[in-house]
Amino acid sequence: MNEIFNLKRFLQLLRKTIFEKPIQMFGLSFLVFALSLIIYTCFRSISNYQSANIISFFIGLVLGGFFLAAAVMGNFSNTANGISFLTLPVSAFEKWLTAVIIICVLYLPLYLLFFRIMDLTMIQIYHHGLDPNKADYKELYDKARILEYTGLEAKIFFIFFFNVTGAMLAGSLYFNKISVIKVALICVAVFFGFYSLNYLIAGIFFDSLEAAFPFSGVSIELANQKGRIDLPPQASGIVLIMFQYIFPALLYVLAFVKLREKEF
Amino acid sequence: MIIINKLSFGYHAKKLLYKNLDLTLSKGKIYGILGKNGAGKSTLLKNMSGLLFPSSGSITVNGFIPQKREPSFLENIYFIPEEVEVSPLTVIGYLNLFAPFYPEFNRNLFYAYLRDLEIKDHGKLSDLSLGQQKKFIIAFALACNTKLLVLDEPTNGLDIPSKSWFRKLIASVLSEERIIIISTHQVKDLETLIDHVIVVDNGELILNNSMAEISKKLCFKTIHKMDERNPVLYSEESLNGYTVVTENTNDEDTKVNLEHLFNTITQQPVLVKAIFKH
Repeated sequence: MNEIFNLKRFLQLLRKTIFEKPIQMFGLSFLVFALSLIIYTCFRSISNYQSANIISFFIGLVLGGFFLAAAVMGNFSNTANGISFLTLPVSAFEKWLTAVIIICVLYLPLYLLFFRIMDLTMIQIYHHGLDPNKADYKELYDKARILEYTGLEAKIFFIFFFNVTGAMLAGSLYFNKISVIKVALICVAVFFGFYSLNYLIAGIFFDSLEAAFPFSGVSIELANQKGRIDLPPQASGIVLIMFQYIFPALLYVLAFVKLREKEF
Repeated sequence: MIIINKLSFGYHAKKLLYKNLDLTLSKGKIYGILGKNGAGKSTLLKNMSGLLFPSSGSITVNGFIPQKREPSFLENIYFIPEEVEVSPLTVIGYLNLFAPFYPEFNRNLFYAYLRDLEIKDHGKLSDLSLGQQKKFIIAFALACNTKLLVLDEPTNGLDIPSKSWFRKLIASVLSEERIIIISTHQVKDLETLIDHVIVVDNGELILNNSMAEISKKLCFKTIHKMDERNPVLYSEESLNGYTVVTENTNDEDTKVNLEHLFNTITQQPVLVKAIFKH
């Protein structure tokens, strides 16, 4: 018997993980989709399409992924579930891979598909509602555009998605009780910690500092003129690679290592 | 066979619960691990099941190292914790999702156990009472036909008829290839079931003997009057006089009372150890 990976065993585990708690798994996904739709609709009404699709995309993708990771790996809040999970006759690799597949291969494309359909439908409705004979038709038409998945905003959100889901997978194994809250607090603390530290350091070098974004650049204001100084492309590239590949990979690998060594 | 060799384990590196514990458990027996709350019974079971890892020493279970948690080891062990919780599935749903992981699972036996334990086969399992959920898990675990069955406080939460059925079922599933380990502090519930007693206290192995050996070394009886000429290891006042435990010096054949045995051991550990040594 292959003790690390067996396709039949893995598929059984995948099926069990998805269908054991259908309300948790499908209900959570449905809730995230519904929340995205509500946020999109609300922000479209009170703000504009750009804010609507950016905010709803962030909420759906990042928060959805975060809670799904917690649902898939968070078996240790009670003794019965923890023991049942660890003594289930499958390898640690298969348990870890199931979580990765559910988050990255099933949820991510499904959410992207849902969001694209929602975004396109909303924008189609808006475009159809415009009067082509009006003078500002072109201007109003161009106000609503779909969120490109290859654009900068989407790219940043994908980085958030992989880092946050990786952190939640690892966090679920480090914290048995209320892991969602603990990991969320750590993520927020790390984010604001970096932001504050970066702001303090930038403040030492720039007198008229307006804003400072960690690992990106600073905005300064001199004689009523605003300017931005970005990191040099080489440094920026390294930072991007760190956040895009290195950190998520480390977090996902950490989750696997911790799962193998998990005592309960 | 389970071989525990110089096992040391502690939840904190500086404070070890078990130190250099040696223990061998053979196939075809029902072992009862007795001990007070917090004595380390569940910890020992979890070490055997790969849920906790030894600080030093080794454990092998049928040739496997539990710590590795390999699928071929896990498909031959079923651990029933003290508190159980089943998923919101129907009986069929649960079977379809969980049974395929256990190659020796027997569906017919499973339904027979459900009938014996009077578990209703309709609706969601999570809607059952905690006692019913526990009985369901026991039925499932027995039907898995694993070579090692570990039960941590199995009778907690069971009603009186269920305890009786539980004893019958456990006795019926024992085979030459199987090891059943039951940890409990409710010794009365399992008195007729266990054929080997292990008593742990503060991480120390105080007793590790078969019921036959215990019966040979100790005497459990009721006397009307305490006699100072016959020293007792343990005594308890009862309606008929005194129930006592004494050393069996006259080869008397008495029935082992596990509760009294346990009390004797915890009150007179040194004396009991000395009796069983020779």
